[in-house]
Amino acid sequence: MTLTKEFLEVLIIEDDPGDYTLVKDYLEESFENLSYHHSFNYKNAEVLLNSDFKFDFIFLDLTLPDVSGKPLIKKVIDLAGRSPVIILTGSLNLDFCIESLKLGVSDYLFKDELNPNTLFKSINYTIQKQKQSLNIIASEKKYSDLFHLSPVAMFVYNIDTLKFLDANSAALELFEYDTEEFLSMHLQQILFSKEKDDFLDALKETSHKNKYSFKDYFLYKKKSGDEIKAEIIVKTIDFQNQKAMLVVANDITERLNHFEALSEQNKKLEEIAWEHSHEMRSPASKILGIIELLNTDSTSKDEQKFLIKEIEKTVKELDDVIRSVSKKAKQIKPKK
Amino acid sequence: MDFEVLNVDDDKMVLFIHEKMMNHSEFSSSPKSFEDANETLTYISEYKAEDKKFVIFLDLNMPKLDGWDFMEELKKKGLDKYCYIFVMTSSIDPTDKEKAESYAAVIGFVEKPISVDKLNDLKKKKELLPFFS
Repeated sequence: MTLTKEFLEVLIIEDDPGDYTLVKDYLEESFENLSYHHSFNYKNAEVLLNSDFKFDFIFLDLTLPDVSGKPLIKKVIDLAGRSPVIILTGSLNLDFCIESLKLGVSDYLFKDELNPNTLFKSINYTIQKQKQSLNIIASEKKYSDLFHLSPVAMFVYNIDTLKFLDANSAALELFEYDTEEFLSMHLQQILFSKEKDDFLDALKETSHKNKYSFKDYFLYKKKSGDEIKAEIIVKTIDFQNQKAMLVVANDITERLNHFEALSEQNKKLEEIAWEHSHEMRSPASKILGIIELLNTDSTSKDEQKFLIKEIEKTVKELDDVIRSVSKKAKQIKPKK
Repeated sequence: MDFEVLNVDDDKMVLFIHEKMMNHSEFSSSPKSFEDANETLTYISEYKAEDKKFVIFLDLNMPKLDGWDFMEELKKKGLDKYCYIFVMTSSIDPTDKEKAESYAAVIGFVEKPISVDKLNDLKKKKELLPFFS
């Protein structure tokens, strides 16, 4: 058997000095660089587990003078954090063995069957298993971060109860709730009553689909009662063993407001164009008419004087219209 | 068959130009001028006759009763059969033109300002030909 050179911190919680020595001897056969810590009772172990020491694995005898059995396992597992716990026991009780594995124990070894090989195998197996579970935790965290740190608002609700199960900070910010408030609410509370039924029906229809994006936007209610217009993509997911819907909401309120501002601006431009063509054309045509009349030689001297006066008046009228057009044009700057 | 020209426009100056032009082009020697379309309606109902047509030069934009209301009233009162209407505009909006054409009495559009040449052209319109031949 090759010696493992890895540097490992080991805690052995064992009141029997003979058993402690035996375990230590066996370990030394396969591990070169182990650093041993020994507790004779739970009280002492508790101190070590609460210290800054990080143990790579912990051996636990099930019968200690101060605590034993299931309560002992629970206490140690609680304090062990991510350090794997391997049970050492003299009594062969398979039911209890399975039960303790459920409590989070990594392995369960019988002292009578103990030898360097079984110990080596158990430790390596435990360490590998631990690495994998750490990988899974890391990967879960990565996905959780993708959800929680995303700038796009996302939330999850239970398909049957419509209760919110999770929401990222972008969603909380969008709806103006804090986490606790939001997670105590259900879907209806962010909808306006007039749209509620349509929306829930639409969602129900998508629940058998894997993923669905709505073409049209819906209105949502902020805590303040203000409106949000958002396009959503929904996806049915399994969330902590519940049938759930993941909703990705894209807030388009601003975009639509811009759009409205633009069409408002357009309307004003149309008004100006109309004023141009009509209000300006009207005095212009009058002036042309007067000139036409002057050209016909059918007018007396007095009439000519009067008509010239009229041209002046009408030009002023035209000037007023031009001024009002340029004033209107200045007003059509889009709203911010 | 007789005819009488009625100019309807809220602008006195426009009415003055029209009168002068009509005299000069010999389109009409005594056209009537109305600043208010309501008065025009009253006039028509009072002076209507089976052997007479009113040739109306109608402005659309007027403050009280506008050109559209006037045509609507005319139709309602059954007076439109006594009338030929020219819609006077300073600029022709295609939708306005379409709408105006839906009135049976409307026989044409005249862009302001009216001129001797334009009036001479109107004399050749088939509805008016009998009056000028």
